[in-house]
Amino acid sequence: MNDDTRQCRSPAEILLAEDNEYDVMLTRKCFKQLKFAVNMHHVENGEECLAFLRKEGDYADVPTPDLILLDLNMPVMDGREMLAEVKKDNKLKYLPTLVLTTSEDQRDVLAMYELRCNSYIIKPIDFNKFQEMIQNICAYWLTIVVLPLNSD
Amino acid sequence: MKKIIQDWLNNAFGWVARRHTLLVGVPTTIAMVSTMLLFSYSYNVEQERIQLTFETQANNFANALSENFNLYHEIVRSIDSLYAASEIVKRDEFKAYTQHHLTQYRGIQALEWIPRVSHQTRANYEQAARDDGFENFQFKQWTSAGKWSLSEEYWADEYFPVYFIQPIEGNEEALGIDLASNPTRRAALERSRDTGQPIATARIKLAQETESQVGFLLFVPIYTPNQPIDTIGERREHLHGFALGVFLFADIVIASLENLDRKNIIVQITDESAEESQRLLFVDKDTDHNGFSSVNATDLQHSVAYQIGDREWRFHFIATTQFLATQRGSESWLIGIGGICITALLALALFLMTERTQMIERLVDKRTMELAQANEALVQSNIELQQFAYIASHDLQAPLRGIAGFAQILQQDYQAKLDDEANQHIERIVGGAKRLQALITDLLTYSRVDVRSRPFVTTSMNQVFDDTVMLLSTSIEDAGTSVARDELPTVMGDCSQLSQLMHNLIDNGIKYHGNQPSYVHVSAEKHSREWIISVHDNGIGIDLKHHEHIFEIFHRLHTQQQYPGTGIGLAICRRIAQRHGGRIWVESKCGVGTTFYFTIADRSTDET
Repeated sequence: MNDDTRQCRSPAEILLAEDNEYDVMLTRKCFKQLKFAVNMHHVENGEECLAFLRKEGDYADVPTPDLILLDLNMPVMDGREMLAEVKKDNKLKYLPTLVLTTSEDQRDVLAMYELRCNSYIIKPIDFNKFQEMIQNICAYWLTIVVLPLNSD
Repeated sequence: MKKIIQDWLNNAFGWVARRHTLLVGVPTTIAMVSTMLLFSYSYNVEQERIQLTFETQANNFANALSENFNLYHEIVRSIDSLYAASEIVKRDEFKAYTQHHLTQYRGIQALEWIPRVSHQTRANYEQAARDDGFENFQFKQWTSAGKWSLSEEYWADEYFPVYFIQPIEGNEEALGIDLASNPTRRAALERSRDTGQPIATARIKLAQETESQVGFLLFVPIYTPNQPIDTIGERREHLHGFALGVFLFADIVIASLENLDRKNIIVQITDESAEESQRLLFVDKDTDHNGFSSVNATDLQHSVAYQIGDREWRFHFIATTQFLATQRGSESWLIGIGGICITALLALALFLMTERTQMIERLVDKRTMELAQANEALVQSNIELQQFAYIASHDLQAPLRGIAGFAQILQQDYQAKLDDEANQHIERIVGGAKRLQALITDLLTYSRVDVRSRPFVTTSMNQVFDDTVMLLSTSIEDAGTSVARDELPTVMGDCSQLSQLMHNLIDNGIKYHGNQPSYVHVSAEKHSREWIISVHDNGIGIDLKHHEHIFEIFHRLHTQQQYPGTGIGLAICRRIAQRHGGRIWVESKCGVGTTFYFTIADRSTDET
């Protein structure tokens, strides 16, 4: 629906799949402090996330996100299943999907890269570091990286 | 399904039962059969030995009897020579001649001279005898009543009277008896006369014996010297008389066998030439009339034929039960009973052994099953624990991040509105959250050492050291510590765990430094089949009393203010060392320094 397919549109559309309210607030706070204009969308589990990406039901009018930030452990459908679905879907698989989690477990790291996640990032507990990290992510994925043109 | 299990159980028990039968039954049967064969063999050998002993003894008896009968035969015959020497033999001469034999040989009842007396010379004979001192001498006749009697009116053409008889004592009754008047004796006389051979009578009861002793007479014909006796006619014509031996079987048997052991062997003599009722000549006294006692007699018998005159006798010897009892040894029975006892013991031992083996097998099966169940439970429990640890870490970290995050937002956004004390409180909140996160992370690491293990790979400890130093570079710079190593070995291990181990030990060395310029030095020494790797520092040291406890989880020696830490680092080190089959220990002196040692198997010996 949106014809604007510039690589770095303004504002950038970012989808955050995260079940923890505090994390959502902290992340939103980080985005607000950025120099980029960012529209952060939020879904609470993998199912909602897929519906959002496929524009199903309530999500008929949402934009296609430029970046997906995915938590691993969520109710109903967790990040692993979600990532698998996204990467199986020919329309969605090119969307950069970043795993953002507290898990340092090597098995999780390996499993997510096997499912073709685009980055695996461990959330630091220090808010200052977290802010820094979000800033770096945006700087990289929204300005440096070249992505295919959004087709919708 | 149930049926399958049932069948399987039946088969299993069937097999156990069969094996039982096999293990116990077969050796027992073999032992039993061996015992029986051995017993049978030994019994047969003994039977043969007894048989041989008996036959040897019986033959000795037979020989003794035969010799004596032969001897008596010869004695009677020898009387012939007396009459060949002189035509008239006086009563004294007969006495003198026979006296020698009678004294030398026992068993002879009497030796007699039976002259052939014609009716014309009867009176002369009777008178001559009366002249010899037998006042009432007279020829005696056999009556139909079965008695000998004196008779004046007794007439015959020819008489064969008992004329001389030695010894006279005890034989007086016989003197004068005309043997020809008795049909049995007459037949014997005539047969002897006609054949010219000695003739033995069938069994007779002697006139002179009051007891019903059985005996026999042996006639030897004596012809007139120098006359032809080639034909029956010539023999009848020239017959001079008979030499006669009278014998009692009992006496002969006693005399013949007096030097032999007659106990337990029954002696019986039969006359095979006689008619049935007259056959039994002698039998040992302690047996019944029909022969021998059926109570005492056994199947062990032996008989020998003996020819006397024209009669055939038979000597029978029968072993009594007592004979067998004395001869039979106990060897075969000992073998039999001993064999049965040994077999029984063997069977018992085998039975107990197989029982025990089966019991042990059942026990082992049971224990194995229990162990498998316990193991399964343990595996399950471990999986659950891992899941628990994972979820706990994630769910604990989310609110922690909230606490720290919002506190820091407060700091950022409201710093100007808060006083220094409020800011310090916020810092403490953040510090507490960070510490809690470190604890969670370390606990997770600790819990993962055994379970989250990766296969061992060739790992260069040099590389591990270098990577660790790189990671710790900030701390090293901050503390101003010099960290160095000698040449370290290449080992088999979990690279990330060995890195963690090296990291914790070096980090400790840096953290607990003293006042003087600090250093940490890592070196390795090969010892037998393992490497001992040491991490040495010149830090504050550890009191000896803590050496054992520092590897326990949460065991700390300092406060957070002195030295921050979770108290899990060395516990993780110990778990990693143990998982690699090694040990970890510490040597330290307060104020001097500390050396941590851990061992790891030497890879080069595994390659062979």
